[in-house]
Amino acid sequence: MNHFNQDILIQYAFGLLEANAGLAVRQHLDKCPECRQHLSELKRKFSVMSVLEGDVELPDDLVSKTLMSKMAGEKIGAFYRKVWIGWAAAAALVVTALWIFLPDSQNKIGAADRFGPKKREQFKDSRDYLSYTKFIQDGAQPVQNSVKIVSSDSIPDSPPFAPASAIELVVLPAPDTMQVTIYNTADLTLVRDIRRLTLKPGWNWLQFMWAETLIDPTSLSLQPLEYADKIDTQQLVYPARLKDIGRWLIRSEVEGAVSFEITYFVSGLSWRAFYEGTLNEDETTLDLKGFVNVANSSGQDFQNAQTRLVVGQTRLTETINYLAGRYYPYGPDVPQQDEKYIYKDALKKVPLLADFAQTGMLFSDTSGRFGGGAFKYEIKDIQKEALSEYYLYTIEGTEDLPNAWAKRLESLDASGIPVKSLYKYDEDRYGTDTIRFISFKNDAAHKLGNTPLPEGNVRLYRRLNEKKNLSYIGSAEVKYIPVNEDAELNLGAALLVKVEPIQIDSRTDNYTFNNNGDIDGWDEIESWQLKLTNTRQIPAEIEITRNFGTDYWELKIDDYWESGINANGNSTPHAAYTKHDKSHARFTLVLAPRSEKTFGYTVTKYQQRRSEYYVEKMTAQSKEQEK
Amino acid sequence: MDDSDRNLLDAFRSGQTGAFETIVRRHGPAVLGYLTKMTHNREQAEDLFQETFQKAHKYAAAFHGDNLRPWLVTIAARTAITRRQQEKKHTAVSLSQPICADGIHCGTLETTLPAGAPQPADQLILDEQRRQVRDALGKLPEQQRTALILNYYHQFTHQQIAEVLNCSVGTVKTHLFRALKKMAALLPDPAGENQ
Repeated sequence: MNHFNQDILIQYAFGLLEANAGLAVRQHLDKCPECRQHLSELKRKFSVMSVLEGDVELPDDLVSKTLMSKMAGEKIGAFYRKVWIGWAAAAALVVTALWIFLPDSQNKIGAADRFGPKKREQFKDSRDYLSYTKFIQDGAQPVQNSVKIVSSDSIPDSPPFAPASAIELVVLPAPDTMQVTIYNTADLTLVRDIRRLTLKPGWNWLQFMWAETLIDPTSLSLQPLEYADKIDTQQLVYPARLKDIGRWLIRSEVEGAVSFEITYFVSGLSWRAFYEGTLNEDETTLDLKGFVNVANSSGQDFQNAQTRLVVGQTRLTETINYLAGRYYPYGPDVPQQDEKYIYKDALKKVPLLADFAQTGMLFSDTSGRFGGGAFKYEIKDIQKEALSEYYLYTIEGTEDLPNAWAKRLESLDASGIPVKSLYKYDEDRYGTDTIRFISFKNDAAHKLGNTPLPEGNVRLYRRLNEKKNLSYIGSAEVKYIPVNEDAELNLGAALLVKVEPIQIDSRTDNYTFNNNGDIDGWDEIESWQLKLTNTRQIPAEIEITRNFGTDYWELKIDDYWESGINANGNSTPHAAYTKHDKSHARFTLVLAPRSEKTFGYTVTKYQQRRSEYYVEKMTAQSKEQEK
Repeated sequence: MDDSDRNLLDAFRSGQTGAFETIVRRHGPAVLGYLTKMTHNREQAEDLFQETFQKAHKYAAAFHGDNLRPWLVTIAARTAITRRQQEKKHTAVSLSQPICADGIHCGTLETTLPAGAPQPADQLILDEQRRQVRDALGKLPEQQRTALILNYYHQFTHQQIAEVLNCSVGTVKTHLFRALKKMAALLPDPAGENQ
């Protein structure tokens, strides 16, 4: 006889079979003790589920909270919140429950709408996942409009004993104002947020938790913004055996809602600048667009945060993610987690380029915000102001910076910046390659100069023709460029402009002898030819630096240098060299499009005692000039 | 006037203040029971509990049935599902850090051993069995868990579950079957069988 398998028996036992199939099973069971046994075992097994049967006991305080909450349209005493609201903050008031039932309900009913029409408007058009209702739900709490001051005498001298189990939590509102200052030179972000906390008179415990967020617990600071003389933040306690938690003890002579500023350092936010430059056809002007990319992998979402970016060096003795990873806020100084691991983990959360493309954030001005919605992406102004040794970029308005997201903002848009294209040949620095540079100055004459340019990568394109087709030239790292300083972009080795030095001749002359008749000085005379090739269709300005390896040298340019050419192909009187420093000479010239030239020079190097002759000669020359 | 749900609702609609509290106290245990099984987390359950009754308070006027309990459990189930979907978008963590060393929410001694409770040894076995069932339920996917809890503990018909999950009756049966199959693998073998 074929037996039924467990699947069929389960379906039979729980009435999941069709009527016909059920009947067939029943008929089989009547005849088959083996299957009956199997079925009863299954039933016994499932019977253990009944231990969860029956209703659970309903705590009285939950009934009270529920009855209160349905009045105000919000939850009270809700312990469970999203990390995106920020790190968890909850006022731990030992007599909270008392307070909740006391105040008049009028304020409570109004509480849900306390953000006003402006905030609602902001959410109305947004398909952001943070809906207005959600914001209300998590952000609301009973607001007491009137603040009562109590006498200092009525507060006991010492705080009441409050074991962890006796502390009751209430939900805090979302931050009213949030400011995020991101330093790009160190993994450091300063977060300031302002929240209204409801205090009871006397001693208050305020509890902060920041699980999954890389907050430096030693940097936490809490300041009342009102009634500073009546509110005293006394101690910050890091409870034993609990990580990512801190409790403040606050002595308050104030009863009601008070604005507090909370500041702390968090790791995992970063920003970097990058640029996109487009050269015009003859490479004389540059359109430069600057962007900043802000990435958040801190584990925390920042909502409606005013975002500020700091350019400049910051000295840190310990990194924030190290401090955040420490088990005890103030040591022992042993990392509980491998720092590298933390860092890598944080990096993993940063979305890839592909993710940006998906959201439509990349390579498009009119793309959506988060999630690539249908609304327009407005280019926000980035305000800049100078600090003592930093430069601060403030992004206009507020930004939502959800965890694991990155956001690109435009910071600069200048067109028609006059630029100089220069090819450099310097064996000391670049070997035998001709290196191409684009340079401009960060000043008003170059349509810049309002702000320093933060360090970043520049992608350069060249407009090829009327149709504005672009060709990619290359990318370069630009260092931090203060106002009125030159910016020079190294575009790497040039293929179409070449410099080839060829040594033609080398000889010695003018030996001198000492009293013993030994040689103690001589001249080395070298003849060189520089073969220059420009296969481009535009003139190339070339700068050649030659190192002679000695401080005592004289250079003579061959006569035919004088038939040099300028940018227009006209002859120039002299292709000059300058003494770059004591051992280097520098030639500068413009090579016509699609041309090849060879220039020669002879250098005389005075060796040993012959250097005295050189010094005498130079001294005489300068005396001559003085006259 | 008898104390049926129907009359309670009428009283609530006519503005009698105590009526809603009676509703909460009458059906709250079932709703909280459902949420506790669903979430495996007392704090979250209480949070959802409040949300459930907020919604109930808001929409009670539109309710025309005679029995509130299935309606309330349905609201609770949907609230839990919605919450879960939101959580999928945003990582959620419970703010209530476990105070106990074992990391599980610990009640006081009084709630662990109510008056007239079985002997401590039996209580231990019962606690262990409860933990095993909760753990097993916790391992089920959301929809399967919802279907099973509603069907097994709250006697919801397949049609009712289909309405909660917004799917067909056939899908509900599939969820239930898969849930039961997993439970069969997860639940301990009945005591004594192996001896």
